[in-house]
Amino acid sequence: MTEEVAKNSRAWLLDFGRGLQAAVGHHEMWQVLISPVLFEVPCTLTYCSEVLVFQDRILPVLDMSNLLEGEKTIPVTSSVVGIAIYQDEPTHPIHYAGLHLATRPQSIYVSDNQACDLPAHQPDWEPLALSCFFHKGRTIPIIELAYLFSEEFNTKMLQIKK
Amino acid sequence: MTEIHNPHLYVLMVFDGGYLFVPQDDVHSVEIIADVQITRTDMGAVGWFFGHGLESQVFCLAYDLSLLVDVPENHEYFILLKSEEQPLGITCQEVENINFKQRHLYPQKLPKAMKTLESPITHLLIYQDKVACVCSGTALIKHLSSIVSPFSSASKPIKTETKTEND
Repeated sequence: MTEEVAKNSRAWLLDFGRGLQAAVGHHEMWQVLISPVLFEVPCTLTYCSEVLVFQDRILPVLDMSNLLEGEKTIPVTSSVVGIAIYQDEPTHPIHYAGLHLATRPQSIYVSDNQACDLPAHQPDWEPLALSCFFHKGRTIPIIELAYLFSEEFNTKMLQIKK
Repeated sequence: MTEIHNPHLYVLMVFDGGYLFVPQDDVHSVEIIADVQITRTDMGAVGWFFGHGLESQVFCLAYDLSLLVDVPENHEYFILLKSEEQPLGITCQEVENINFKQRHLYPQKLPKAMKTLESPITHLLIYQDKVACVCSGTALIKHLSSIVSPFSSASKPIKTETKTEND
């Protein structure tokens, strides 16, 4: 008997390297850039020290593996950057931001019955995850992009760095 | 004579191939490195400039805004930043006056995710296929003050010129 999969919503599965994976809503990934030109900005946090120019906008490019593991794992020479979009509030304007990826995002379907708790061994995802789902034997957190790129999260990270 | 304030006028400094813009109002003058008396100071300056009846320390920065103790050969100029006590010099490869309005240059706020407490950079700007940084002279002096102090326990903090709304 074939298992029936309820195809409720589409999402992008993001691979940040080092086995770090997460997902965003299908509408939250705007474009994928292969080896874009990145510019280093001085006096910034190590996980978000680069920007790129996208449609006349200067966008921050965040390195999740650096944020969560403290190490840069993605080679700069063949970088993949996903252009994510988010809103601080539903009525607020759209913001764009870049995410370093190890590979191109994968389009997947996620249903409610895949929902699960964030495993205890992945506490670093906790503040960033809206919820989690089980996919191919792994727990995948769904990232809250607005929080990840917010002043509030930045302030929290600065306090941790102190 | 009243000074004319034009908020669109900036001084572009080039170092390490990177661009840094400082408001022209915050710059006392632009000088050549040949006029610097090269002598390292306790505070990490590369030398002194004696001009305009003032003694000014001259510092050398890398593009990551860390302090360099030697002047790279291609640093031919320095700008004198206004400060409360004495102007303060920062060396660079090239320097140019740029009118943002005339050149259709539009600074964008530094993204929230990139802000740090010690960063003097407030805005970024697309300039000649690169991304340039924008900061005020006051913030740059404050940044210098924060990075030079470890050089000497006897070093004095650099006083920045504070502006009030009435200025």
